[in-house]
Amino acid sequence: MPQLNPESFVTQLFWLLLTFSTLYFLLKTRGLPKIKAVLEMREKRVENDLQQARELQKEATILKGMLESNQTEAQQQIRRIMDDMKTDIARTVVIRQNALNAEIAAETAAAEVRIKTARDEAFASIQETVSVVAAECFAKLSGGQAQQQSVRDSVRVVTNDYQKLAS
Amino acid sequence: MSSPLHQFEIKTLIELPKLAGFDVSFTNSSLAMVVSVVMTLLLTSFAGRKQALIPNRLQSAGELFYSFVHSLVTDTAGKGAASYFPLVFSLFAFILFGNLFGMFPFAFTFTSHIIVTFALAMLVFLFVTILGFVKHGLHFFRLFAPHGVPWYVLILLAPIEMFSYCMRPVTISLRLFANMMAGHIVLKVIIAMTVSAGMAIAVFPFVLSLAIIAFEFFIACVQAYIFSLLTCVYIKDALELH
Repeated sequence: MPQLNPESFVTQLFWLLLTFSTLYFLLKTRGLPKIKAVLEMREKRVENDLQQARELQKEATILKGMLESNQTEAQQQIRRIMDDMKTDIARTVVIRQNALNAEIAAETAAAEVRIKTARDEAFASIQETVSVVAAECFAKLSGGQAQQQSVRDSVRVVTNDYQKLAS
Repeated sequence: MSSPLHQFEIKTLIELPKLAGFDVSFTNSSLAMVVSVVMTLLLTSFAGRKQALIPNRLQSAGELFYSFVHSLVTDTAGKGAASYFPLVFSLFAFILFGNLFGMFPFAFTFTSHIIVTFALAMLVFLFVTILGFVKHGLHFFRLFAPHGVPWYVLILLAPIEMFSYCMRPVTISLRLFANMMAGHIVLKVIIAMTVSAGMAIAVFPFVLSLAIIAFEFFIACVQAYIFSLLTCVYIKDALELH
């Protein structure tokens, strides 16, 4: 078995020492620090990017909150304005309606007065005409002269009753 | 047919003058070690050369290699062991490329020699022991006396612990050496069967040899991993005791 031949031990150990120590020192001083630097740079970069993303997200959240509060504020304002306008309109409507009602009432009252005077006048003129016609009819029917005053009184009684009924 | 052990023969490639009376000629074993070192240095220099933010394939492979060993060290031995990372990385890369280079036909596997694996194991053993004494002084002997064990058990347990501690370089080096040697012997035997058997029967050892070659690549990686993993475990023991 060549592995147990002590003649080859020294050269193997010598070259092992030489190659392995060379490898170790080259790796320790040059190879590994370079790779470490690359990996750390990348890690730092990624970390920075993540940090930036987190900050931007925070900012966005704040902006979103502001936007939302603005929106609710605007909505509240709109609701307030609408309410104001509604009460305003309602008040105006009531005022106008009252004014209109008063006007209508006044005109109605005036018209009623006018109607009353017109009716009274009409009744007055009707009394005269009916008295004359009744006297004429009495004269024609009885052949005698009717007493003007009693005809007029009877007519007034009838028309007054009628006027009471009508009004 | 040559002996399946023939492949482990040390052959002098360049005769060198004797150093203090010892033969230190450049052999096939030395060549394999140099190849392993060059492969490792190539991979790491590719990984660290351009320092690009987005790595290309070679750089990515080197970075993966680095991260793999780095997480092996920090996961097994803790964050405090990060300063011993270059040693574990060197061991892992050296053994891994040594094992993998040995998978090439006619290439020499320096990890199939017990003297090499034992030297690496002794390196780890001495390093860990010195580390333990530097970190804890004489308290390092607490390693052999776990907490909460009554004294009458310790009389029996402490020598056993100490013995198993001293056997560490033997077990760790034998595991690597035996795995690599056995694998190569089996490969050699099976392939020799393929060559010597008749055409009709040769199919079976041929298919088997393909499977074993794939398995040997797996073993090459696993054994390098186990060696560095155990190194990390020993470093952890030296840093934290029990």
